[in-house]
Amino acid sequence: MNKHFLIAKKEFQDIFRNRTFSIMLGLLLTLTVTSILVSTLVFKSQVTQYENSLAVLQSLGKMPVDAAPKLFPLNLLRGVVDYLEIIGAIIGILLGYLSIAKEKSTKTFKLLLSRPITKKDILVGKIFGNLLFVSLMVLFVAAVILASFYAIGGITLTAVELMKILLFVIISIVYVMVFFTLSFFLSVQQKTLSNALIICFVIWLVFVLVLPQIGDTMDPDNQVPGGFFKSIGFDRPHEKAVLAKFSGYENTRNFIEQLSITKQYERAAFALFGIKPMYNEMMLPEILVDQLFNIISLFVLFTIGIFSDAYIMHKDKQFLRG
Amino acid sequence: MVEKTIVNSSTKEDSSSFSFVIDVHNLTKKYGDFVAVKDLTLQVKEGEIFGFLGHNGAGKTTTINMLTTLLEPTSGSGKVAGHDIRTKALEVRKEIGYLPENVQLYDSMTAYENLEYFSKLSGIKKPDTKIWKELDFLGARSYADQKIGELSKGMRQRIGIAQAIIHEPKVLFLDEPTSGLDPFGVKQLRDIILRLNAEKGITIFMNTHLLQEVTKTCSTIGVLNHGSLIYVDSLSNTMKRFKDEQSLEEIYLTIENNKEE
Amino acid sequence: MRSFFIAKNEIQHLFRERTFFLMLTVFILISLTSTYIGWASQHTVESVYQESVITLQSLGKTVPPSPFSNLPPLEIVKNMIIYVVLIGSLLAITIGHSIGTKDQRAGVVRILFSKPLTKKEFLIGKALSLGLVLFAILMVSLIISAISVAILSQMSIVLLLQLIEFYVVSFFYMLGFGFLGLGFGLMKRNSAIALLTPIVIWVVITFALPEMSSALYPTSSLNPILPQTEILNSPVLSAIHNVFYPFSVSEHYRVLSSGILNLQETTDTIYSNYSPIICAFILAAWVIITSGVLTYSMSKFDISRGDIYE
Repeated sequence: MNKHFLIAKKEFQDIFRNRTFSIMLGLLLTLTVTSILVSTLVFKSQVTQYENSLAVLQSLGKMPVDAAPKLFPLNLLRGVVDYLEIIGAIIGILLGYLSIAKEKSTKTFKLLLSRPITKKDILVGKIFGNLLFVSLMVLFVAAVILASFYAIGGITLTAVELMKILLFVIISIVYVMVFFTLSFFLSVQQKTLSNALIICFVIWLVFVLVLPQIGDTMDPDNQVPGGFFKSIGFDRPHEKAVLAKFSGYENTRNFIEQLSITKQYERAAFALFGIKPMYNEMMLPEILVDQLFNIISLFVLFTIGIFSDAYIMHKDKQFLRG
Repeated sequence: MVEKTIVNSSTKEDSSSFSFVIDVHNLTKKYGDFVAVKDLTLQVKEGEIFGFLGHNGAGKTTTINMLTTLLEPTSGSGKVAGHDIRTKALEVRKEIGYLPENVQLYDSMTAYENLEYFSKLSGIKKPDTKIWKELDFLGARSYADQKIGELSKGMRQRIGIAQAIIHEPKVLFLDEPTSGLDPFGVKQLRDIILRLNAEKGITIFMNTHLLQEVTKTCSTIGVLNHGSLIYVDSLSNTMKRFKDEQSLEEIYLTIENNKEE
Repeated sequence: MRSFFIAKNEIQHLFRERTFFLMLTVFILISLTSTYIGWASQHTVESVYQESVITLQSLGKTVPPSPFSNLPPLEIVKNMIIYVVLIGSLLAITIGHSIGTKDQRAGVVRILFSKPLTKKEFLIGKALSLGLVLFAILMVSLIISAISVAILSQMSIVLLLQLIEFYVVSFFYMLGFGFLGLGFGLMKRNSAIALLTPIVIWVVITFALPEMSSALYPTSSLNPILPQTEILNSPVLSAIHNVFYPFSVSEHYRVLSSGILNLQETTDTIYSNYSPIICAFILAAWVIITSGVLTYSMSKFDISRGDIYE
């Protein structure tokens, strides 16, 4: 246990020594924080606008015809999800790469193994060290969300909303760690580190950007700004009825999107945050059931990643030779 | 105790009657406050095999880098093959060949392809005949179509030498050419160096640690110590001067120790 | 002449690299599928509209005109704009990086410069190989797109010229990223850092700048048709837009490309795009600036380096 802790501690400390990584991390956090602040301001503006309209009506002795609009603050966190899915994945890739690069470039792996520790110990220590870092990073984002909502937006979140944020934190950590395990695997397995990085980025490109983009492009509703069905005045049941006649096309589109871990993460996160309005009306357990496949997929991929890393560490002789 | 004066055989005779292929004066290279090479003054005659000795970090590679125009000296002047190393770098490069330490070539290309590429960069328009000629000279013809990555270190060394001599340079710079070679490889390399000098008339400037090989190969030796040239003389004079020492190794250690004193 | 030998050597080497083939395969596959996806989604959407018309008529509602009538013939190529921004630029970075680091990885720098080769010739050779490879790749992509359009839509001389113009613009957009990959490959002593640095720049240009300058969600900028966004009209955001928008090269490329292909307006924010001429000017500046980075990198390139780096 002590060995794992020592290795994990070093992993954690080493992360902050790499300048390029620090730049990427700074970029992610800056963009995410900006997105949160802008979203909070938008929300506050919406609330203020409604309250002003209400005040005007009341001063004229009138009452509003419609009920007060339901405003869901978590809806505004779409940008946060987008940044974590794109740049968070890059952070994961860089962490996996750095974890191995420093051993390969200095050939210190042999030195490590000349101590009474096993490859398993090293792997566990590295995963824990990086998991701790990723967790702190995502928790920091969550803390900024809460602070921004409370201090700027004057928003007090309900217990359910807080729970949703916690679940979002968990799936975000798992999502980023999947890319860590991928990059870790390739950095050990590939002869050169830059090859490993290139392959990682190709995979990132295809699964994080291209596949979801293909899915979005194929979505009939996305063909018109603001939504095709909305533009012709269709409600959800009518939309579904029409699309049911194109089940083959829709299934293909859905299949392409499901191939992407990013889409799975995005669907789960969007469901938790109610980005699609239908989820705002659902109870949390219902949302979780609805998104069970996506959430489980993330955990399964992370598990596969860990086992793959263990396998490649065990199998690889070249890395050991240095 | 040995005098600390540097003996240069060229001062004993009229220097104008010899042509110096390497003629440098007060060559210095500094990296910030660190002086890698200090006031190097050195002449190497045409046709010599010059062995450049020194401890690790003495500045031997830095010296070669300056002489081959890969590195700009901080101060001083010099000519290689009659061309100024600071102002006529391209002319210098036409007249020299260079084999760096741990010879590296393009692993994914064959020996022939490597030679063809470097020949064309040297200005040889149709190098085919010359490539085969040098491969024959070096006994490497049968390896022409093999990828460099598949060759042994000794054979890579030969291909490395081939690229360095294919354009018939006046001076060949070798940086630790025996590094990593087994005894058989060392002997083969020695034979090649001697043949290059005897048959092609190429002047050889060689950094080396292998003192045994220096005694069998070089006509002149120089010793660099912490960037300063502390000794230069012909090998025969050196052996006479230090007749009390059993081997060149002991002579070298004596020279180095005296410098430190 | 030496530059030509260098260029030829680079191209030969590139085609022996697995990672290059991996990226090239992805790009070609995407080119192949791009027009098909465009056509399939357009065709399906038209069918969806027809079905919607039937439903509307059965409900006695007025039928709005089809938003898909009078779509330009090159509409099915619109995804290529996104794929150039995503894959094309990353491919260019990878190619540039591979060319820039090749000699250092092989450890032949000192041998190379012991020949009568100037840094200028060396750089020209490298840049030339980069340009030629990108040109060849885009030619293949152009041919694929032209054939696909001819089969799935319609083709004419005018449309072909529009396609060619689009690919010329794409070439220069990608070339800028290639210069960055090449430049950092020459400058940096660590091969992986040499790759990461232009990738970070690419992330900033492709995602961060569009977001900061248009307050769009980052993934929204990947869609040819953008959803309407709730933009807060505030002096602060306008100021941020004014500062960052000129540097949002990917946005200007998209606007210019959409204009060339006669596609419908692809952004829907309160901020209006620059005119195509200004976009073209910014793209030209992009190429000039990145070539400046490349030229600067050569001054940092140490020809006396002997170590092989990772």
